[in-house]
Amino acid sequence: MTPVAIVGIGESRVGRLRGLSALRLTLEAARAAIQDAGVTGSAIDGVLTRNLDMDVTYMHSQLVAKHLGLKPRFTTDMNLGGATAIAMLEQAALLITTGMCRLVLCAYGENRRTSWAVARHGRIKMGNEDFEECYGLTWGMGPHALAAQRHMYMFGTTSRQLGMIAVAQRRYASQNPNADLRTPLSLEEYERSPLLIAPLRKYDLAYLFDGGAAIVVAALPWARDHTARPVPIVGLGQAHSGEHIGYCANMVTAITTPARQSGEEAFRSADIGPQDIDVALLYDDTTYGVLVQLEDYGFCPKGEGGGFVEAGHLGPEGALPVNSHGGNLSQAHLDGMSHIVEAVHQLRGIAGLCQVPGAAVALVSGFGGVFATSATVILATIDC
Amino acid sequence: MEMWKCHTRGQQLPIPDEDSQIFWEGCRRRRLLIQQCDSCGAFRFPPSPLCQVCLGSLTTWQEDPGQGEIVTFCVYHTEIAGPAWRPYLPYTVVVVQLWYSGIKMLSNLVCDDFLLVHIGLKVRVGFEAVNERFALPKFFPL
Repeated sequence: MTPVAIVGIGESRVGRLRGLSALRLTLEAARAAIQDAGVTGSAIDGVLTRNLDMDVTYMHSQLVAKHLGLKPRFTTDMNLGGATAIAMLEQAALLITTGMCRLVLCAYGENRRTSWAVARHGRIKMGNEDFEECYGLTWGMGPHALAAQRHMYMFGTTSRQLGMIAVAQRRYASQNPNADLRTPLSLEEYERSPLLIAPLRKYDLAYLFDGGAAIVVAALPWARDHTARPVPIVGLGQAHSGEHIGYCANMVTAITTPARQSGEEAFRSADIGPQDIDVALLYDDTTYGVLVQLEDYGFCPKGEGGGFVEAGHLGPEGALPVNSHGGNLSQAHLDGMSHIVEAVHQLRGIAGLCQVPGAAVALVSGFGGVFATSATVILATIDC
Repeated sequence: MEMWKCHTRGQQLPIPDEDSQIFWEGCRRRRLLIQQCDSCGAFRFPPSPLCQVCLGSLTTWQEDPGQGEIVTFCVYHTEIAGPAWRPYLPYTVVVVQLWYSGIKMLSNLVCDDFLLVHIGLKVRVGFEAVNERFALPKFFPL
């Protein structure tokens, strides 16, 4: 199979951007990614987009292509929740290795922070919401609180250990000029912060953002001839629990998530193991999401995530820097797109104060639904 | 709570469909009805058109006595689910595994003292009438 690489990345403005449409943010990011790849729009022959949760749009990928003046050979809309970013990379890799496309644009933009309630064209149906919303369970973080409680019961994981994840990520974010939350956070402040959905506190939860990000993918041989700084994709994995997002009762008590299988596939295809990862960008709706993935990707044994965090491995001086941009929790919640962008920054060596010295192998994860879908990509600038 | 906007804006009531209407009608009559596959005997919940074990489409609605235990829970201290929830704070969302059918069901624990809730707590179902058409199955300490 033809090896593939990320050849361009782009981001839009992020934050609270009232009045800016999701489409505009998508286009801003897409333009930046195309420019970063150093190609012209006419060379893009594949367009993948994440359809929107609000303002669900008919043939969204074609609308994005139209506004960019592209006439692609292949487009499709995708939505696997927080796994979409990596699932788009996987789809792009398939399109390129099968010869269907040469240059694939994966574009994302949302304005959920300021426009969530603007239901002009309705909102997406969230699984079996009829059996959840009437009990006051909120999407995303509520189920994470249920799962964290079960993990605490099974393995003695503590709120303080979850707090150490929030603190470590904020330390990175405070060094990242693109991060939204840059004020340093202490463990004491974490512990004083309100329980919003016990056992989770304010700083355990990521909040919504307006913003966009985009990625251009190409065949590696082409990339080496035509672009400046290709970042090769060396491993891919995807797995589904068979549980839909909405009815989370089974998944929140399962303890092991599809990240285990998704990670095993990615490691197998890259022919490396967890010990070879220099920096991990783990999808983080909540601190608990990070903790359970540390276990499921095999960075530590099942049940020992709390101890692993407590040993200080995640921070800037740790053995496994995690979410070196600040993650969804502190940088910007763009459904995992910014995790890929950060991995590229790290492997290009342009992550500034957040740079992990000598970073050459990165694992990036996406988590969709409530532990329903996991997607994993391993990027490496050295031969694994 | 602006930052954490969620899908729930009020106390959203279910909208019965062809799969769930028997369940909700059962609740209105204070009976907890769970689908059981006629072909392989597997219970399933929430209601759905096909058995996820054998793809059988014929089902019998069995009454579950509604006793079981809490397998996990969380406690909402904020009106993150919308202002309609303010009067109920703090409220407890539980996952209950029913002893009879074995299915896991999401619900609320109805209990004066939320500090009593713990994993393993034995509970029984009760039905809380919302209006003339709806009663929600909720759980009470056994």
